[in-house]
Amino acid sequence: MPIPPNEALRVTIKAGVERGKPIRFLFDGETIAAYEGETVAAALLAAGRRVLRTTPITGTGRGIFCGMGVCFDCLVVIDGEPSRRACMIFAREGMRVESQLGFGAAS
Amino acid sequence: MSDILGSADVAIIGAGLVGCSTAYYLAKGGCDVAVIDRNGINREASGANAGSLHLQVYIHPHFPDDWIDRIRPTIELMREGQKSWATMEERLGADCGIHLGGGLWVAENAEDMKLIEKKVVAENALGVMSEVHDRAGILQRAPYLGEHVIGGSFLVGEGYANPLLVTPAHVSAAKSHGARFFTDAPVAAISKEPNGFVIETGRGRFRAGQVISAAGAWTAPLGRMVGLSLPVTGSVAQVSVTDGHPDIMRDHLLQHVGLGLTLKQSRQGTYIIGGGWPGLYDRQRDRKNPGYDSIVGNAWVAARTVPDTARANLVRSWGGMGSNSMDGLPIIGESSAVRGFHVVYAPLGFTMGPITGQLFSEKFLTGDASLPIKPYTPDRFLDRAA
Repeated sequence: MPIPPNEALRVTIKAGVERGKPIRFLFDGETIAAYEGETVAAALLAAGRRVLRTTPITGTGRGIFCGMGVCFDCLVVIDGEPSRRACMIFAREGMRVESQLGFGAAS
Repeated sequence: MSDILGSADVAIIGAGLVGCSTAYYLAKGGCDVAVIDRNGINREASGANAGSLHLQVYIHPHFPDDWIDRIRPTIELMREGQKSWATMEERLGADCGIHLGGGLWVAENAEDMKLIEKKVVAENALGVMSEVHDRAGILQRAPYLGEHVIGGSFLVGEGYANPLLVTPAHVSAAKSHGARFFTDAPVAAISKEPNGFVIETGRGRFRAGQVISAAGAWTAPLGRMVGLSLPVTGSVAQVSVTDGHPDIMRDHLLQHVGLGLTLKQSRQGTYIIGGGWPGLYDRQRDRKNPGYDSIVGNAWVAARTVPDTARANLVRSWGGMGSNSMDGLPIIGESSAVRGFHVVYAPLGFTMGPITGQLFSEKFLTGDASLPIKPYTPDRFLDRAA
């Protein structure tokens, strides 16, 4: 389900908190703006991307659930490697991220 | 403790698969049954095991020379157990996640192949028609096997079920026949009175005409409450599950002789990796934890046997309290030393739970069971101090 990008979903910058340097990566071929220190999941959430994969059996959409590496619901294909947890991997400049369809095939 | 928890003609202690299947059969047979558990339904090994449905007997290179004679009685039991699983979902009117695609034992060396051959001869003699295959033959059944496998046995009718569904399905069916369940009621003492038993629980006193122990790994301490020795020892075994991958395992149950492996692939494509690797028991908190060394070792055997598992991500590991009796056989029947006190215990309790519950109940209700259960009498331990 598309939702509008929302900068408020990013970490609030207050005293003592500094944003990392701006970077860009690709999600299903589209450019996503992120900051160093953000996970792929965090950057995609701020960019309004909720559905990160579809399930193998019913094809239902899945996204961030636990956000801390436990539930394996936010699996994406990163630089060709399937089943990576978006919530556990830092976004990097030029990274190629794809939604995961079923058993680890990139969309 | 003056509170009264309740009363029933028959009290079953333990709400695992053995206790709940016994409750189902007894309630269906018209008994007034109550099940009492210290925690909740399906909380221990019945819910935490890997879901394997065995029909081929367990073999291990370190077994004593007479292992085949010791094991022979359980072949029949497992044969009947398989029939019980094959008809369970229809009987209970519930999805139990049962898939019976067949099962394999595989070997990496000639000595282990000899064990398999010996096992197959013993099984065939009792109507369990397992087959021996060389590498080419076993690859035809299971093309997913790795390069180290030199052969093995295959048997139609083995497979797996979902441990999270099976016991609750028995509970629902038992309830529909009037069985009652009392959870969070740890049993502290059992005393025999002229007209039955008084069971002291953490929620009050329970009166029962007869008591059935279905306490799994906790069978021994329960027996001691009535002065009986029931030598059952618990040990934590662990299971791991991976993320999903395209189905290659055809609903098989796969086992490895010697290295410790049960492997199956669920309908979601996840690999379920078990095989009795030891977990860690935190006695103080009564927690059954997986251990890192066993996770790594178990995954190594899985990857060696089915290379596709090597590209899977491990998602979760957990432990459960497995157990075995001193002689490796089930314990089924009434104690002649404490009349009215009965025991139902099954090693490999998941596979054997439903059939032991059924056989016990047949004997209890009619005085006769459809398979000889005399070898399993709790009286065989009477000369031991409790």
